[in-house]
Amino acid sequence: MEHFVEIKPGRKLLKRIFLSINLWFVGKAIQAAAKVDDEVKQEFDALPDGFTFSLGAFPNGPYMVVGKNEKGVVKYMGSKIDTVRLDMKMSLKSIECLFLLFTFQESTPVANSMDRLYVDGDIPHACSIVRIMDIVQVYLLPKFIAKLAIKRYPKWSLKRHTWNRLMVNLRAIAGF
Amino acid sequence: MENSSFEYLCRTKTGFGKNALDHLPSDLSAMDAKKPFVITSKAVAQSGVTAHLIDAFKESGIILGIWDNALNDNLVDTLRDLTDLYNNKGFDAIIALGGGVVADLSKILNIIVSKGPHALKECKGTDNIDAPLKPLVYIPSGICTGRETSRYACVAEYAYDSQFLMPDIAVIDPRMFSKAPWEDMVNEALRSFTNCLESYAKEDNPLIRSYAYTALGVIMEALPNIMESDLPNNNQSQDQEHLPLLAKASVINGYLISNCDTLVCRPLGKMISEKCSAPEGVCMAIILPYVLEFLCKDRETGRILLPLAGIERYCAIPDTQRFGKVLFIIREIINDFFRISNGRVPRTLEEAGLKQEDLAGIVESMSKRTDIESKALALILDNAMSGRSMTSS
Amino acid sequence: MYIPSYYEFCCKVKTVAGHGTLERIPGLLEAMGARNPMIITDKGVSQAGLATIVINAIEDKISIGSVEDDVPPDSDLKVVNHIASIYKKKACDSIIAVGGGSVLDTAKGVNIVVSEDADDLMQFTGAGALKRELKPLIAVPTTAGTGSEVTLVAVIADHDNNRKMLFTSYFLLPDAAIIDPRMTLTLPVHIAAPTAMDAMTHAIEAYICLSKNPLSDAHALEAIEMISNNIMAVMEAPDDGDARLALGTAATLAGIAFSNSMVGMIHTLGHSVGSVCHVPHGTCMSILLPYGLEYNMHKVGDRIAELLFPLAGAKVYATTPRQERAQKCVQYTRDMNQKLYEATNGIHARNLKEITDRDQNPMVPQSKLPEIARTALGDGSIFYNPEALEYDDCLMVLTAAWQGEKLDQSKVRKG
Repeated sequence: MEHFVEIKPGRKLLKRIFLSINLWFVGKAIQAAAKVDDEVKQEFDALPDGFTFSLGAFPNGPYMVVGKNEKGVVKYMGSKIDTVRLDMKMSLKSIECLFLLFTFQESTPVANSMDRLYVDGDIPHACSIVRIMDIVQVYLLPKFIAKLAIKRYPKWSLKRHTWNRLMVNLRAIAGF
Repeated sequence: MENSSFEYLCRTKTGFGKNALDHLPSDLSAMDAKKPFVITSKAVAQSGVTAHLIDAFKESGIILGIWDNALNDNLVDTLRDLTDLYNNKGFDAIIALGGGVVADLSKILNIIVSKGPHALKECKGTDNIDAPLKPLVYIPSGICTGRETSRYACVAEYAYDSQFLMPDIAVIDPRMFSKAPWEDMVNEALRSFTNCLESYAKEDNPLIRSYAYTALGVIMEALPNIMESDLPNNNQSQDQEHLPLLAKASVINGYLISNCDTLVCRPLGKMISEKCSAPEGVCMAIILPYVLEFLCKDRETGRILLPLAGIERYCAIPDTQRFGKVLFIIREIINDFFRISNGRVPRTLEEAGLKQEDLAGIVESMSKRTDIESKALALILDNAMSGRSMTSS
Repeated sequence: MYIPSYYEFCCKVKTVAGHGTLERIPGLLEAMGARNPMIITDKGVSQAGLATIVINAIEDKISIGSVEDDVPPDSDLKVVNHIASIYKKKACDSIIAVGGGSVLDTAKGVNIVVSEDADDLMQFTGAGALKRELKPLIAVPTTAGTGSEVTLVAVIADHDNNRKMLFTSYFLLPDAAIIDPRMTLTLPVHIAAPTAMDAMTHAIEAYICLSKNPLSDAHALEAIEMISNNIMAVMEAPDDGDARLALGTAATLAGIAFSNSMVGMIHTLGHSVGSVCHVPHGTCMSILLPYGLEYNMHKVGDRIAELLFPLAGAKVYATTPRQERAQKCVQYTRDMNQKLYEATNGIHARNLKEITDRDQNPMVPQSKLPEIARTALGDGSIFYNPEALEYDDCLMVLTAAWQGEKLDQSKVRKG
């Protein structure tokens, strides 16, 4: 029929690459912060051993997976969600919504309040993960950007702001 | 007020604003829809907005079928073709992108593909559909009237009225709007304004009031933009900002007309418009102050100032002056449109080109549809002809 | 008007409110093709004679497949499965849920089992797991507070495996909510007071929190005004059907508002007081309401100021200087609690330390506040609150609410 077309909408490669890199780095940074930062450590301690979670875009990613093994060690576990058993899945409704989040046009609370973010899993665990990610954002981002991403910029000690920040970033890049 | 009973139903989930379209793949998947069929018109397709829709489905893995030949004629044949297309290609949901014709076609197609070909006849009339149909999404892309999101659909002699015709989702994404003629915008604004204000004034129904309050707030925000845009001369809107706002009001207007079947201005305005040169929305707005004065003659009515003025201004105006202020605001809006359009938007029915000899016929047809006495209807029309105020007669 | 750059609004529930609306249930069911409904309720509701009122109102127009009244106060998986098996055995085709939150949760759970023919409810937990319309479900609330007749979640406890299953889907919304004052007419005033304040808190938090939008605002304003205008009338004349109807309608409106814009810290803390000390939800809400306003004042003072209009009316609003409106709004909620305290002969608690159980033992010992504050950090509503809340913040607010002292707003950490 002349007035009819069937279209298979393609990909968004640039956004996908940009977001994959960001997610990879955030995943690594969470792993690093769990070693360096006491508050992040405490939050992870409260989560059950073997707890894994993902953050990504519906329906085909990109994703990052972070988990805590039986010994309580927190590890970035890659970008595939189908090879691991997930206890919690945080998804943005589309890759565009994830892009808004990672370009700081919308903060996590804002994305959440606009129904762009949904969580599959236990709510108290989700609360811990959001707090962990808030802290990690403070480590990774300059203050004026982090302020857009979180509700209340924390008052930290000088050591936490300098030495810990350096360590989190170094470990995230070096991957140890 | 608490003595009465009321009902309200809006089946539609509405998404307003930035990146709204990007929620669609996820929302469709939540309804188990894997292959949506987009119905639109050539005009919409040529404006380029379908690109945004396709973009929103990138990375989703969902395949879209797009058909873009919705026209005003041969609708019954068209429906047959669309049904074949839908079934042969394995679609499982419909996205109506555009205005009234597109929405009507989509709703009726949905009846057929959900219930079978015999439903075209069997489901005609009121409340003859007893279960939800396939997922239906409505996306406005310009001027709309409110019927798109209502419980009504009509193609040729086939007319339907069912709660299950309200779309499951309405998506208003500013990217989907391009341009619209200024006078169409005025008409759309006045139509929603009139329906919303009348239903706010007469329905003792807090749900209706809530929706009407919201839509009126949106219109009051959009009106100055429309007026100041100095557009009646080049007749094309370059500014995309108020079109989505108007669409938002129209979408809510659709929910309201599905829930108030005793509105006066809506049918009366339509009858008047058929006899003169002015469009429906404008006719409705011209008679609105007279209808309000009549409806509100024995009731406490200052409250209807609230959605027009907002909390701050409403509270500052003494109770006894509020209703008068409402009438003043309506007349001011109509006068402003008259002025900036150099008289093309009329202020009275006489200016709209209605003839005195048509009044009796309109009163007669209208009195069959409402319990308002013919005498009162005649008085309303008579005053609206010349722009006299009701109290003076 | 505050318009967020994006928002969603949805309430697919047909709301039917008024005197004599129970009688419309058969017609509503018929329009959905249902002929053999099951009534689900609990012992409390049926002992109060409310189930009988519903049955009497509908039985001459529709056959009732079964009446199940053994829903426990805490919804339970076994009960859900048991009721579902009766539903199938008796060939029911729809559900009428008569009661409060747990009855609704149970009915939603039963509806999933019978509509999806599910053996294991677990596979339907979480967002997006339900993909289709369920069987017709009509909700008849009996408390005028929770708003669960218009919410899209259900929580069902699996006591064997010691877990709570959370279901979220637009398909869980009932098809209709029937607000008939006969259902709340016999509710004692000391219960009517906190449940009305529960609804009030839903509406107020919907109006001031992060996910607010123009449509939820409009519903919230209507709800607040209706509650404010009618709550004392019910206290003075509990058999005032019009006032009861207004409170019932307002509770549904507030439910629609908050299910579209969510709630904030009053619920964060209130849920936690409830779960740690087993205090009724509405009581926690009434007490914490003024504190939630005070804590967020520096962020959303203008929104709080606007609330003075639905609470106190146009005259008070107009005669109060602009910069005093928000504080006056807080004072108004405190005064309301005081009036309810007097109207209920002291049963309606004004602060956490005043809450007692039936034997007059205090239910919230001060020593429990740290545990409550820790629990609060795991409540999802915390993210919708305008100002951030950490453990110390929770404890500070709880301490003030325990004492019944105003919150020292200079001590609130501003983000």
